Amino acid sequence: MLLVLKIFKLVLPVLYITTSWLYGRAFFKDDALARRLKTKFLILTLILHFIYLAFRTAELKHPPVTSVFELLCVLGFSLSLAYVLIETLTKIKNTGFFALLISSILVVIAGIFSKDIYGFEHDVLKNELLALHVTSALVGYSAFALSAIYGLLYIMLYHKLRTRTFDTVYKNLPNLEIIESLLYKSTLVGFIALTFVIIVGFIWLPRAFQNFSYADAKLVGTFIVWLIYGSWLGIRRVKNFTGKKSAVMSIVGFIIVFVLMAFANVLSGFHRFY
Amino acid sequence: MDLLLVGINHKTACVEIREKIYYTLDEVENVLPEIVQMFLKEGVLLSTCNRTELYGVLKSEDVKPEDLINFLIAKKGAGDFANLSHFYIMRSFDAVRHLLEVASGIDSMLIGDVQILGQVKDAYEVAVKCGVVGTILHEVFHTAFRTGKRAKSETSISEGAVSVSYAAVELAEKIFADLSKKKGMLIGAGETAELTAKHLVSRGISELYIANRTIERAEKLAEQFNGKVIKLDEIPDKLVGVDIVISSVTVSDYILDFNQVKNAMSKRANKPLLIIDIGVPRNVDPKVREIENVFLEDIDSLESIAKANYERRLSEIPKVQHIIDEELKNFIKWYEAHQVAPTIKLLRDRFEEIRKLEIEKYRNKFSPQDFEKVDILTKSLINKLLHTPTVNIRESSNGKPESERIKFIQFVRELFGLDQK
Repeated sequence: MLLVLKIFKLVLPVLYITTSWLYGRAFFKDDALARRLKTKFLILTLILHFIYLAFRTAELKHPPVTSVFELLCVLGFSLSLAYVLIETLTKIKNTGFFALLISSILVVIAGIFSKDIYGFEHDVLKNELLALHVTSALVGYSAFALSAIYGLLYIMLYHKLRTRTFDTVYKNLPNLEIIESLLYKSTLVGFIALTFVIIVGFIWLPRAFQNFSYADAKLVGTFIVWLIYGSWLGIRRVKNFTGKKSAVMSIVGFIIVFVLMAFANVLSGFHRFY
Repeated sequence: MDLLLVGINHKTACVEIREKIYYTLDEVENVLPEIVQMFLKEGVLLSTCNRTELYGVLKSEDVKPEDLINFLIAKKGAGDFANLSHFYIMRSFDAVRHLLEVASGIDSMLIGDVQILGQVKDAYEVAVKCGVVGTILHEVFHTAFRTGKRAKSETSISEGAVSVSYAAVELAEKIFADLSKKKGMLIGAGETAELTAKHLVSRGISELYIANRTIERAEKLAEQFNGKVIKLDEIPDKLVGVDIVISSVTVSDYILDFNQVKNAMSKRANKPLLIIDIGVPRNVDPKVREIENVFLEDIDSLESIAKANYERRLSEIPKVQHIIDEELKNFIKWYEAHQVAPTIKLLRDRFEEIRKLEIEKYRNKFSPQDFEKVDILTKSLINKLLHTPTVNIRESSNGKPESERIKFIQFVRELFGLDQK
């Protein structure tokens, strides 16, 4: 059965990369075939990924959230899932390239580093609150990633309008107002989810870990991220943090998340699971 | 096929001549029955500002295309302007292909023109109303409608704004999601500016302020666009509330300078502002472009959008041609199926097929010698049964007009279920 998991680990990155390539062809080159196939391919990829996650959970007898790399794999899945939902709801069909690119990177990293271990490697993770804590963290970070992607699209279109470059990419982008509203909504979803992560964490962590500490790098890092996004959402109306500024903010915010989390993972005391 | 097309279009004649041969739909309704009665069995007259084309199935071989052309010229009294050299003549499948090209917008002056398909439909409906559409033109025109629809949905032949005024609207829609929640301001009045304002109004812009040096002109425009007249010195104040500004005045000084726009932006909470400056010399200080969330575009931007879109349309022509090839092939298939010889062959094949299937079931019940006899017997039975229908189908083509023959063959094919496999 481990063989099946190994095959999936090879196939999934290939599928994600192919889907990103199709989205890229449609976005940059207006390729007709890619435009037709991309969403179908993405849905196929997501279905297979879901089957993999379900099978893996059943086979290894633990949810795929007990190590950083398992988490990255689920994060890649949830980011693409969020994107495909947005694509269906907004009918904006061309902009998936960046979301798929990030998903691909996550799935590739997960495929290389995650180990197939039966049962729980860390017994402390055998807990119902874990699912809640981790799921909201996934939703939150997927939403922040999406908001950064919309920030990037906003800046691309802004720049094209300013420099009067009316090319294929310009044609394939939706309008600034929609991008900004998607950006704002994903940030809001991310912030709410992160708030939830922190609340559940504070209930569960002190109970679960003997060596729990409020000064742990991961807790402090998450709290800083929460503060940054919270204050941005709070002052954006008052200080006219709209338009280009909010786009820049969403990208900078996500970079901070990435850097802080990378450091926090290394520095963290009790909250580390490889 | 006795299909004939005579026509004049923007490639063969200038507008002065074309407008002389232009028939309104009402005129078509009067003229078409007359033409058909004199020369044709079926006819459709398509007339737009860029073309006048008569598609017809000839009554007899004596009718010459020149007669039709002369009739079209004479009926409009355009003899002093138009002559035979302005017209083209096409026959049979060439004429069909031409109609498919027209309906899909690739024969238009502006490639991908969306109006033409509707005009072809109108022309067809008038002809149906006159009772001059038969089996052939029915099939030809429905092939054309299908082709036009496919070209529009399967290719980008009619996508994107290709006129400067529409390009301005397209630009606005790249910045704002819903124009009906936005306000506009029109300063001055040039042709392009007015057209742009008109398009914005038709997209449902919620409010339009109009500023002009002459109040009467402003009031006239305000009435036309359901807008509000403001004075020129109110412009900087109004800038706080509007989202799209179209400016087209002839002044030596800037109507809007850097500080005015900068102030307005901080008052309007930095919300995006689109300024389209098509005045010559320019009405808005180009430095305004450096202010965040301000998009200052001029006639060059609009022209390059229109040009890029048009080039994209041109690159779609091969795809449309491909659709035309497919549809024409289907049409030819339909036409050939309604010929006498293939129908007779199909009928005989079908009967032979049934005969073979049936006697095969009895192969083991006869000795080889008897089986041979049964084979011969059934063969001659089928031949006898099919003799009269075969002769009658063959005779249907003698001296009868093509559309009637096609109708008859259509009946035969339905009766014997020849189109089902």
